[in-house]
Amino acid sequence: MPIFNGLTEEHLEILSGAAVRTNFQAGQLIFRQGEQANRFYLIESGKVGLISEAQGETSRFAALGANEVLGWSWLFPPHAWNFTARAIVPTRAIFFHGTQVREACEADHDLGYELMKRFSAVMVQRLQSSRAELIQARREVYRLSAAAAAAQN
Amino acid sequence: MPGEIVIPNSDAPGLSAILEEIAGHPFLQGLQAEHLSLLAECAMRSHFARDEQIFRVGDPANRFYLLQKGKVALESSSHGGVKTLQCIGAGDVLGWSWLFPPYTWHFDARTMEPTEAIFLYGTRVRERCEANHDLGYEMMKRTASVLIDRLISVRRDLVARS
Repeated sequence: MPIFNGLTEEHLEILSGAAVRTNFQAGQLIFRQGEQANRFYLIESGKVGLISEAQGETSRFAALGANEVLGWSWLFPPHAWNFTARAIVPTRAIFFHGTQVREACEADHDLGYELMKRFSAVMVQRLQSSRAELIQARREVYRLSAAAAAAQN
Repeated sequence: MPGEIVIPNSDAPGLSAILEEIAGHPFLQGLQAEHLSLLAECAMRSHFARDEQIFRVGDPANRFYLLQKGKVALESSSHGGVKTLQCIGAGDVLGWSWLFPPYTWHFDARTMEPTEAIFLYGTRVRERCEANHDLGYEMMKRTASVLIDRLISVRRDLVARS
């Protein structure tokens, strides 16, 4: 798994100890917004939709695929999922027990540093692409309203 | 003793002053005195007037800012005009691009009010984290936490747009 590239044998063993293989059918719910978040997933194959469910509105805002990490809410309180995740196609993943991994990081700062560094790197990338999308979406709105205004004249 | 700040044996009064300032910033809350000292050695005060450009997209990103006072707009500009991504203020951290290659800014940062901040030299902080995994773990943990908040915030905006 690319995200674990460079970790020591010892650290990989610790992580293996917290890992469980799992798979999902197309359309199957992985976790629901608001539920307790005590694990994270590494997607091996397939595709997962990230869905926001707020005020009765459902909207898919992103999708993740092979070698991507799914879920950050296990890291820090309040440990509740911020979104719903649902498999779009048949998906294989490895999930890691969050509490076990957190405790392993607290006990071994070498592992903690390496994991947090890798996770943060992924988060920075996600933040950058989400922001780019947001800008794109705002430009679309601007273009559409400008076109609508022009059409009225 | 918990909470006590031990001033390093340096005869630079500037260092102890900056140590006190960084110790007071929410992002570094809970750090051991030893770690705060390491960071103080990488830190400098900075002041910006209102409507001043702190950095632009594409500039080398070799520092990050602990905002103490004021307000900063994160912006993206192109022929479509300037779009605000987010506004941050006292207690926030400005800048993550120093953490990982390619170390260039992905947005513009402009002050909306007179702003005071402590900036830290990214390269030096990275080196200290690599050399001291206790410090590295603490810094990365805090970083991950703030990044998650930012992700949630951007996603909320994205969903509101659709």
